[in-house]
Amino acid sequence: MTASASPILFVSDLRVSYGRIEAVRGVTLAVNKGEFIGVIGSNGAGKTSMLRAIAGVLRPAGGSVSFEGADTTGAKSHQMVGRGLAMVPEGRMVFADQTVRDNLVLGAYSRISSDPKGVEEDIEKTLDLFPRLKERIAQQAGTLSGGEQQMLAIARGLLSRPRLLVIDELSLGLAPKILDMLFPVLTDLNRQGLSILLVEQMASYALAVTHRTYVMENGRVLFDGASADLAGDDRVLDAYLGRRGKH
Amino acid sequence: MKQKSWAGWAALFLLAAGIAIFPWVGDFIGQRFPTSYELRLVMRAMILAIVVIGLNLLVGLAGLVSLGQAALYGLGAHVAALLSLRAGFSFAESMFFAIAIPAMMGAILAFPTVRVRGVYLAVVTIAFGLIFVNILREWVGFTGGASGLANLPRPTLFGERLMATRAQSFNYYYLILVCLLIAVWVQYAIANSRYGRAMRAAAQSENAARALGVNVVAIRTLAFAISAGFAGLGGGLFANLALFVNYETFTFTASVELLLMVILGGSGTMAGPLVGTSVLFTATQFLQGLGQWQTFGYGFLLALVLFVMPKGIVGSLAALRARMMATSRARETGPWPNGEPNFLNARDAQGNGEISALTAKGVTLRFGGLTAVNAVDMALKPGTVHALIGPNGAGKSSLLNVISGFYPATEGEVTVFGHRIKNDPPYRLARLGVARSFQNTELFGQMTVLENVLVGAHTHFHASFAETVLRLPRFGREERTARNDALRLLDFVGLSDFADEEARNLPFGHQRRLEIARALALRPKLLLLDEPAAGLTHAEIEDLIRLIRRLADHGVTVILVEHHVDMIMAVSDRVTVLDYGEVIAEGSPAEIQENPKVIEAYFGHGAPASPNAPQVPA
Repeated sequence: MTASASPILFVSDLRVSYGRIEAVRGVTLAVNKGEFIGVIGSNGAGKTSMLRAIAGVLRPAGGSVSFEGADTTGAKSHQMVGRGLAMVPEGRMVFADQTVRDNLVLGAYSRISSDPKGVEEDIEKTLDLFPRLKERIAQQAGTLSGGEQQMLAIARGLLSRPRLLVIDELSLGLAPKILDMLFPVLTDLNRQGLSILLVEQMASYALAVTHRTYVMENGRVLFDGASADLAGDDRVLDAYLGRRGKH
Repeated sequence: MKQKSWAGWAALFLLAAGIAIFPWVGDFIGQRFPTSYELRLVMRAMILAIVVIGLNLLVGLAGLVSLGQAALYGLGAHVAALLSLRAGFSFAESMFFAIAIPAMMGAILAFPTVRVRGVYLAVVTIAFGLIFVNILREWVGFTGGASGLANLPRPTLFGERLMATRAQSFNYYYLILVCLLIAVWVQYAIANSRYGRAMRAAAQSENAARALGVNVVAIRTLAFAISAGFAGLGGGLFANLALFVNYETFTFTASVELLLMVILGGSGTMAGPLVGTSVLFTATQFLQGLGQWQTFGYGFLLALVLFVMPKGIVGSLAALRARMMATSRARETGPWPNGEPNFLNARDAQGNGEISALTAKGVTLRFGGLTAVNAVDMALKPGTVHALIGPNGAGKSSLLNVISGFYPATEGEVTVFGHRIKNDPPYRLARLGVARSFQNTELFGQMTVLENVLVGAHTHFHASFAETVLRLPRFGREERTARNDALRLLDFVGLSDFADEEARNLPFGHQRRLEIARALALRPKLLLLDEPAAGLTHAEIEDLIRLIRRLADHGVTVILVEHHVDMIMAVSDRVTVLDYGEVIAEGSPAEIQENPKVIEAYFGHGAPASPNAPQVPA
């Protein structure tokens, strides 16, 4: 699909530090409406910290974030959810002692009182997306396998009806077969119009599914470009795709 | 780092000097000051500080909240009073028991921590406090009930009277000061030793502490006993100062006040107890002028200080200081592994070729009706890398938990280096040389990177508790060696630059590497790695592959649970595939890659959405 050029998310010169650590040092990045954007980079490059600042989990130390044209720098995460940005956190963070259904309902927390019927419909829709969750609807989330928990985390994120889904480390600890199932789901969601910002350590996957990719290093964006081009770029091959014979 | 501790000691010296000079201030300014009442106030504050230091060890280091500490304080006071009043014990004798009996009681109180922690433990300690006060009040024949025990003989030490005249009461004043300084020292000495590290480790991640060979029940019992010993010391000193004791001093309210002093000063900090006690004790004296508004003022002050300084006075100032010194060095690291940990150099490369590193026969693990692991057989040669793969939920982590002692197998037997595991707790297996990492990283988040590795070396310290507190030569030797080894391990995994940083602030992938370094500090013979590559980039995974190969070359046997197929193929000697808890295939990496059953259950048939993904075989 072709992405229209108006950015749904625009991050300018973003800086994040916590304690005495400066993790992000001036990142500029844009997600256009309908785009599927990847961010890759080593551990410590600042990817997660950047996502947290965008989603309002951390307060940026500098720079600005705007979402759908409005300045959201320093907005709280619940405000961002209300505005249409949902985050699937690193390590999934499902509510382990609550059922799959309750996790989904909590995902719709921001709109359940105003639109209970819509929420029910959306739960059905997301369960069609992940039939495995349907089988386990009454089970406690903590008893799900890692792959199922990741499905639940995505489904929970979708229930706030976001226009931008932000995902931190989709592949973390997941079997290849599960990944082969999850990535196409994201592609489908994107084709239906959902913008996605994906931070992914397994660069090969990220480059395969996204339109554009940013490569981060040392708290900054090193370069960015069309994912298909980057997949053949020497700098990316060496550092992130593990071209053999490097060492 | 160095400068900070220097400033701390200087501040302590000034405080001690100030207290020491205080009785003589009147001589300089030509007034009758301090009065004996004021002298007593300072003595009482110092006694409270001793008790609060003990409580800080329990709450701040071991993470165990006690709301019954005043009962242990009261126990010390009553033991001292009863022994000198009824049994005619000397001051020194009665003080000995005033410390020893509460310490024993504290050890008994630690027993519930085997089962309960947090709020539940606090409730148990409240119950203890209530029972204790009730006994004091109702057992009139023994404790005097409400009228208490009065007219204690004035204490004498080495034939010197301590309390009779003003000059003699100076003796007691200085005795209390010496006790306080000893308490400060003991607190410092414990906190900066394997005991203190183990206490903090057990509080921050009990599972990881157990996996590193820390006997958490023993370490908590120790924390409780020391803490109660300090409470008893304070109680004994109090009884001999007041020459009168009854239950009213040691009620639940007093326990709450002691805990408030710890929290207000900054729980877990070295200076916190002194600051918290001084501030609250002084505030109480001033607030007495407020009449019926006294409690209101007290509560308001507490709420205000903790709102502004949520980590307590000392804790919040330290956090502020850390924030001022923001660093902007790179968070990424260069390639690793670098150098070689000492224990690898020392190790015979071939290991013991005869004994199998691990054998599992018919190992089954059930939770209720669910079979997580079903009749698994495995045999590992020493110095090999054995991968354990399978779909999410196939029972791989459960099997690791059986091998590391976290779950006893329902059926079957596991033998590690010839030792049959039978209900051995994790800490004992750790001492046999089994180390592990955790799927969802279990670091000690509020300890530094270096301290995390030092906890890994816990079992290699041999200096006794007494040697540690007295800082005898063996303690220093071991501590230096352990630090050097730990720094080499950090270099090995490429994290030297992060040694003084709190572990929770590391990026996720670095946390994985820190877990490996910490596990290696145990000098393991069998290393279990649960998804060590999750969250690593390709370049980092290649570094990890080299690290694992190097370990295996030095005779360390490695069991690897992993999903990165590239890595498994590159690093493993053998692969076992689990599905629904059962072994569905076993063989060399090449055999496994071709196995249709494994392709069906695990690899999948290639991803339409990920044409570039090299790790998916066609």
